[in-house]
Amino acid sequence: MRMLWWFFIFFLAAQMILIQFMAEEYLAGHHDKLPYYSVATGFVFVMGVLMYLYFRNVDDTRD
Amino acid sequence: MWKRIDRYLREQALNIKREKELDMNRRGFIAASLGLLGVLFLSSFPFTARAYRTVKERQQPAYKIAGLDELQIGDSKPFQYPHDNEPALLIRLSDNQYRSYHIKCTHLGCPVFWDKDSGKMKCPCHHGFFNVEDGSVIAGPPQRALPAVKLDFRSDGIYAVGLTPIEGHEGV
Repeated sequence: MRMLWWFFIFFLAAQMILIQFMAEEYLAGHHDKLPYYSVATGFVFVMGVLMYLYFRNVDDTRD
Repeated sequence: MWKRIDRYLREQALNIKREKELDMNRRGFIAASLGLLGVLFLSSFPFTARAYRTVKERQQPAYKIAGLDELQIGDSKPFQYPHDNEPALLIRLSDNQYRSYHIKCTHLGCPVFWDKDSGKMKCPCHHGFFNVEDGSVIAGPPQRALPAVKLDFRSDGIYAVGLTPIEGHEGV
């Protein structure tokens, strides 16, 4: 779980940067690029879920 | 009495509650941040919906500008599209080559006209020149190209069917 903690810090940082970029694109009027950012945030979220499940399995096996 | 005061002071000074501490361990933090990742993902949905709405709005109605053989080669015809306060110009370059642009100069909004002799589009106010092939700036103070009007050739005439967006010019 200690390893996972660092992964999650990274995912959170990446997600916040993506959201910030997305808001900037929105304010600049580049609406056609917004769906790509949405897909990217979804990807980070799915990776987070997979990582969480994996490390929980590893933890359970150790216990 | 003194014991109670002592306990109260200890509680205030050493704010350690072991039960609470167990709630927020590493696993709790990770579960919370996983939730936050999900919330951020969900919060991007309204932006995406806005993106698709814009595409839908941009589809303009068709407007008949002129008949198929109404213009001679080298002639131009002014019209308004998509609203009355947005003047545009249809130019016939050759037998089957037509161009159409909004004629509000991208510098200060003067009406641009088609100069047949020089083969350029001119803005008389500050001597801006635009390329008739793609609406780009050749010379003068304007920095951005003229927005182009999309044309559709039908059996009964030439129709304006939409606008070509230009980078940094999406509102038009």
